[in-house]
Amino acid sequence: MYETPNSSQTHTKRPRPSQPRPESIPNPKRPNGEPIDFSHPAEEAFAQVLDFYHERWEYEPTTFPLEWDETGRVTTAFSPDFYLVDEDLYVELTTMRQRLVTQKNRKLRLLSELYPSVKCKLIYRRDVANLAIKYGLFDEEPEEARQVYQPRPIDASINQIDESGKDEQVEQDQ
Amino acid sequence: MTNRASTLRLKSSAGLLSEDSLSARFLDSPMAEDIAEVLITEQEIQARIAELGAQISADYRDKDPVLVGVLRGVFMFMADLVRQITIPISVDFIGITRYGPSTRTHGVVRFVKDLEISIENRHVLFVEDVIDTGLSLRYILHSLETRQPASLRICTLFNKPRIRLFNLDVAYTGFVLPDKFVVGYGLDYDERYRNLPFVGVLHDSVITQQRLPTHP
Repeated sequence: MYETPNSSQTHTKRPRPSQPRPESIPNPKRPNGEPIDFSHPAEEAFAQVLDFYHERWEYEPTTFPLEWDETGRVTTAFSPDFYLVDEDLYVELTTMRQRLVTQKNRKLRLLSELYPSVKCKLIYRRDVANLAIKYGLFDEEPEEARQVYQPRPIDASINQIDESGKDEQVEQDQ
Repeated sequence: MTNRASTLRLKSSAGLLSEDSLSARFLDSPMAEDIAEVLITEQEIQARIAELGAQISADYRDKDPVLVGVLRGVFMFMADLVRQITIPISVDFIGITRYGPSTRTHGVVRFVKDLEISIENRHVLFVEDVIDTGLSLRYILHSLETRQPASLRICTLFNKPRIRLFNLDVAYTGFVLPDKFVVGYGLDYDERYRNLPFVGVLHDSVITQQRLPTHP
């Protein structure tokens, strides 16, 4: 398995010829029947929507190494949130702030370069928010959960994304 | 003019909602104060539908097509579209359950109203109000394909391809929508605003029920 990149390390951005060829790593951590520990409520809500529409999906089934250091150790990797089985499509939801989305966009670019046959769709925070409105995803959220995640009204979320929308568009266009 | 009407006119894009416009009757509507911006005016919608109707009339000449819509959002578009189509057609509707608070704990999507017209060996044009993820449309298309139509194509008034999860070949598109939650012309928020003749963006303060948790 890969190791979490250390921000203090200097590492190359691309695998060198002497380094291992890009090869995805399956994540055998969720056997059948085991409850999935989603890392964000939006992911669990999205999974419920997929179930409702009969879409077969897997949660974080694969890890894609993206960068290696001089010794061949993986320093950056990407595990998309969902894999839609019938579409052979990975889906990544982002509920992050813009500065973190930029990092995720970079990973997506690396993914497409190193694994050109892999399809991955990034759904941005604003789109997740719109889906939440459309499907009523969080209107029954327990008060305890709200306190844990310190949610803000959707309007505040959208306003913040509006402020950074220009940068996000640049990232998408690249 | 009331303060509400004044607000709506000032905040509509390019001041398109003027007192002499087709939508002027909505300037004093109780809904007007909820609209922050008019994205697509009634005139723009009707002009585009006329173009779509002319194109469909040419493409389906002598094919006796069946136009199929899914309730409820499409009712307004379907009504205006068929009046712009100048060839003989048939029209039918289906209904499916939608994901939401009332269906979240009750399993999966299902048909609640089926077609009353047989589409076997017929040319079918599926008419949608808006396509975003494509989840519901994919389910519907699978069902329609099993009925062996002669052809099956898609017409949508509004398209949000940015969040599409599936490859869908959309033959006719009216408008590509930005990444905003919009209402009007059949599109609702909590079952309201469908009857607006234009497409607009709600004030943030109107959408207070849904909360997107920030990333932990």
